[in-house]
Formats: sequence, structure tokens, C-alpha cells
Amino acid sequence: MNNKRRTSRIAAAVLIAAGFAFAQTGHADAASSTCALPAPGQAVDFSGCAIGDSVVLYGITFEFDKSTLTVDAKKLLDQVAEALTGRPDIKVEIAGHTDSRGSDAYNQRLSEARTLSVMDYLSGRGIDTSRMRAAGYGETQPVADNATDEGRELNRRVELRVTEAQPIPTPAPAPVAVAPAPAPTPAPAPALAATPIPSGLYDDGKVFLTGGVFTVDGAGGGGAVPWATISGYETRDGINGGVGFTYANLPALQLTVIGGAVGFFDRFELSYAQHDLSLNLSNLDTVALAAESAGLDIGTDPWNSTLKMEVLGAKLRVLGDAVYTSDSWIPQVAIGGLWKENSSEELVHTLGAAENQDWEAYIAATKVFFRYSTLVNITARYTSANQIGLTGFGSCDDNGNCENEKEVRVEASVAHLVAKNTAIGFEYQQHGGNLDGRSVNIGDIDLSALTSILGGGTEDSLTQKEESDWWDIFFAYAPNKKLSFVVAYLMLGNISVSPDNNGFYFSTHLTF
Amino acid sequence: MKPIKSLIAATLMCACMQTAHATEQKTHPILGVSAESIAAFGGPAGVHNWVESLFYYIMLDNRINWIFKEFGNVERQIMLNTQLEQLVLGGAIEYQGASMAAAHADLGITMPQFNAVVEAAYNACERNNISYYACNQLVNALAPFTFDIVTR
Repeated sequence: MNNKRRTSRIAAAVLIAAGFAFAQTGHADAASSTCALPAPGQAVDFSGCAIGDSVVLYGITFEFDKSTLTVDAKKLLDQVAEALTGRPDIKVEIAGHTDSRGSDAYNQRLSEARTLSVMDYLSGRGIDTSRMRAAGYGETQPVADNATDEGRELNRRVELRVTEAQPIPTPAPAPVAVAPAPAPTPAPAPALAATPIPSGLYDDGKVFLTGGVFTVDGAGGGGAVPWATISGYETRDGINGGVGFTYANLPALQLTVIGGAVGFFDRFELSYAQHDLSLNLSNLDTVALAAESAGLDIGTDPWNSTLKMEVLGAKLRVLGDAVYTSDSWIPQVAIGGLWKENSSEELVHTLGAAENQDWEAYIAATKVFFRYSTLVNITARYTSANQIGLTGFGSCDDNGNCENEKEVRVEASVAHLVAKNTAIGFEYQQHGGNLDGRSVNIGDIDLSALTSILGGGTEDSLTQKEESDWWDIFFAYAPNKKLSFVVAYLMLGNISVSPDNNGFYFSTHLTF
Repeated sequence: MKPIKSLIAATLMCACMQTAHATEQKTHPILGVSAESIAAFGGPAGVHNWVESLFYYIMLDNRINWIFKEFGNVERQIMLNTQLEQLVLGGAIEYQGASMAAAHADLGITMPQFNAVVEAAYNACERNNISYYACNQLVNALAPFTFDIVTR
């Protein structure tokens, strides 16, 4: 039993001694001895301490047989406290050891009492007790021979063992320099202060798609319905605009629209659009053929009747903000005016319209409902247009009595955003009935005579059908703020003498 | 005597009201805010992550980063924004910052700058895999602050 104990004591002693020696030598070559007691006159420095390091505080002495710290010990502990404050990440065990004189139990108690008084003192110097653990080892861990005075002096000691510490960054091995050159001090990086980007009047600060796209009237909005939004990506601080191109292909016609709009300060918009519409009405072509053979100019060419129209527009935002006033029902409201000039005067009259040019006015209300990621627009348009003016305005009867009375028609767009740059939705546009039931009119000739000649139930073939309201469903995508695409399926119903005009619509809007 | 008392009372009331307005209140969007919004953001921790992403995108945007660098402690703004976002989405949380109007009164924020932050908000949603619809709940709930913040 005793033997065994002695053996383990010796082993422990050897290990401790070895560890101690290692710790000491390990730091001996470090120029600043950063985890060891300093040379006299130097400050205690724990900056190099890592887990497992231990420092023997040889200067910590106590009054004989007591746990009271001597004055010198307190001076040293003051420095230790300061060094520990400089390494807030490390925790230590305060290990107390005695020599072998006296009984084991007595030495154990004495070592415990002494470590506690060291801990108390450090605590009084501001070191949190949670960072320290006191451990008395009595005479169990001698580092020298207890048979000699010198040995016993070495064994009476207090050690600080580092039990927790953040890893110390290892410096990269320095390259071996042939001739040591003075390390150049790196120039301090210039402090880069971010500054406002000068922008002038150009502005593209609106959020995605909130300026609407390019309508066939040129104004900003959906495909057919002008919205209360001002075209372009400008905000109230600037100007922006864009150009648009639209192509629609329907059984009775192909429509091409080219135009553009400029928005000023998100308040005012000017727009322009030019329409080219090619008619594919075979029954009208027959009329054209008949008219040509009769030497009449009715504004048509067989197989190639085109309508051309130009639209000038202006829009003023009156009140509200379509996007951000989510706590109010008040929408963004704008009023607008359009001047439409159809240059295919003869053809328009052939189709029974009273005027080939006229103005329209509208009031639009737009609001974004973020709760449902949906934009809703309602527009009321005051107009007498037939097919948005492509077939003129108002109507004349067979007796040449013309009327061109404007009325209020309702239009709506609903756009649901499925992503910040992608919308799907539908549009509705109420149309009038000016030309409903009117025969195509050629130089005041009653065409029923012509259709009677053709016979076989063709009597109604040159009678214009009831003008349908327009519907469309669309898909809009803006890959970036410079560009948007709209693909739509149009359901335009009866156009002039042609029924069931469903077809595709493609539009692109390029903004600057 | 009586008029003086009521004057004092009025002054006190004023003081109270000012205190009440010194911080920010929950907004009241007309169509409400989806009850699942905070969950859709991934809970309070998700909201915090989103705010960190928001500031990441703000700091990359030369149109606005200089404002945030010049006028505020970003760490603190992230903390306050995390509170504010939860507040407006219906979370039971105390917002410890100043009101939006008070905090932005002297900054002269413009609409393009505000919209740039909104773009950063959507980018942050995308980066954090928060759905566009959930993101819009937050935009919906924050939108009423727009004209407290945009003063120029």
C-alpha cells in the first residue's frame, strides 16, 4: 500500500517536474516569456498563455505555518491580477503545495487555506471568482527533494495552471531573409467615405413594374387600359421614360403599335403611339374588288386594307400613392387626355364612322394591395371611339345622318404579382355600339344590292356586328428595370364584320 | 387656481402623448397582415436573419450605404429593425427605438433612396428563401411608414 503510494507519488513528481521543466523551457526561448514570471523589474505578462501552461509563483510567500500573505506576495499578486485582466479569456487553477514536513492531512489543509487566500486576494483585485479554482495538493506533488532545505523551498509553492484559454493565433513562419531588411510599415489604408451618387434629373428609382407597361394608347398602364401610374421608373425626384412595341395577331387583323412615353417627377406623363392595322376581312376585300372595278376610291385595296392612327396623350397624377399607402383605401388617381388621329379617312368612313379623329378623356384609379400581391386599376373613359378609334368615332346611318356622342365606358386591370418582376392578370375594356348593325358603306351605295347579287344568304355579310367589349389575360415579366415583356391572349369578339377575334398579343417596353 | 390645474394637466397629458409617440406603434394596413407572417419568416430568429441580410444588401448599394454608415450604428439598427419588423407583423415584442418620423426627420431621405431599401428588402427575402407573398406581408406592414421616412 505504502509502496504503491510512494511509487505513484514519484511518478507524479516526475511528471510534474517534467511538465514544469517543459513549461519553463518552452517559454524560455520566447523573448518576452509571455507565460511565466518576469525577470525582476518586468511586468507579469500572460499574453502567451495557452491551456496546460503553468506558472510557478515563487514569490508568493506566507507567514510561517499560516495562510496569511506576506507584503511581497501581495505585490506580486497585484501584478498577477493585472496580467489576468489582460487575458480575460483564460481561467486558472490556483494550486497550492507544501513540503513534506508535518502530517499529510495538515499539509493538505494548509495548502487549501493558502490557495483560498490567494484566490480571495485576486478576487479583491477584480478577478472574477468564476475564472479561478483553488486546489490544495498538500505535499503530494513535490518538484524537488524534501530532504534538503533547497528542495523543500522549491516544493513550497503556488502554481497557476491555465485550464481554459482561447487559442493564440500562430504566426506564419517567417520566410528566411538573406539580409534582414527593416519591415516596411504598411501605409494606412485611406478611409473611404461613401458619398451620394450624383444623378441629376435622371431617375430610375421606382420599384419593379410599378410604373406599368406600354398600352396601345401609348400611355403607361396595362395592355389596353391606362393606369393612374406615371410611365417610366422615375420617382418624384426625376424623369424617366421608355419606348414600346406591340404586335397583335387576330383572325381579322394584325396590329402593330410603336410609341413611347416620358414621365416627369412621377406626376406628369406625355405619350405617343402609332398604329398600323392590316385588315384581313375577306368580305371587305370582295367589296374592295367590286369598288375598284367600279372605279370608286373607298380607302381599301383588295387584299391589303390598312388603317393608320396616331395617338398623343398626356396624363396628370392628381392624388394618392398607388404603392405605399397600405393603411388607406385612397388609391392613386390620375386624369388623362388622348388625341387620336386616324389617317385612313376614307376607310373609316367606309366602315360607317362619323369622324376619323377625336379626343378622349379618362380618369384612372390604381392601388397595389400587398396583402394579396395584387394591383387593381379602374378607369373610366369618356369617348365615342369605335375599336379604340381604329375604326373612327361615332357613326353615320345609311341616309348620311352622322352623330358622334361621347359616353363613359368602364375599363379595369387586375395584375397579380407572383414574383417581384412577374405578373399575371386580366383586363376588361367596355366598348360602344356606334357601328352595330351598320352596313359597310361605299359612296352612299346601298350594299345590300351588292350582297343580293352575291345571293345565297350573304345579305348580312357586310353588316357590322355588335362591337364586343375587349377582354384579355396577360403575363408580364420584367427581367430588369430596362426591359419588360407582356404576352397576352386577346378576346376581342366582334370587330367590324368579323366575329370571334381571339388571338395573341406580344408587347415589349424598353425603359431608359 | 382651477385654470392653472388644468394647464398643468394639459401639460402632463402633452408630455404623456409625446412619450407615447416617441416610440413606434404597430401599423394598420387596410387589409390586415397575415397571421402566419412571422412564422413564414422563420420566427423571430428568421426575422433577425432577414434583417441581417437586409443590411448586407444595403451596405452593397452605393446609392444608400453611405447614409447608413454616416448616420447610424449598424449593429443597433439591426437590433431595432428586428424588433420593429416583429412589431408590425403582429409579434409580442417591445420596440425600443425612436419613432420612424423622429429617427428620420433630419436625414432628408428621398424616394429613390427609400425604394432602394425596398429593393434590398426583396433581395433579402430571396436570399433567405422567404416567399414573395410573405415578403409582401412585411412590405404591407411597413409601407405606412413611407412618408414618415421620406421627407424630401
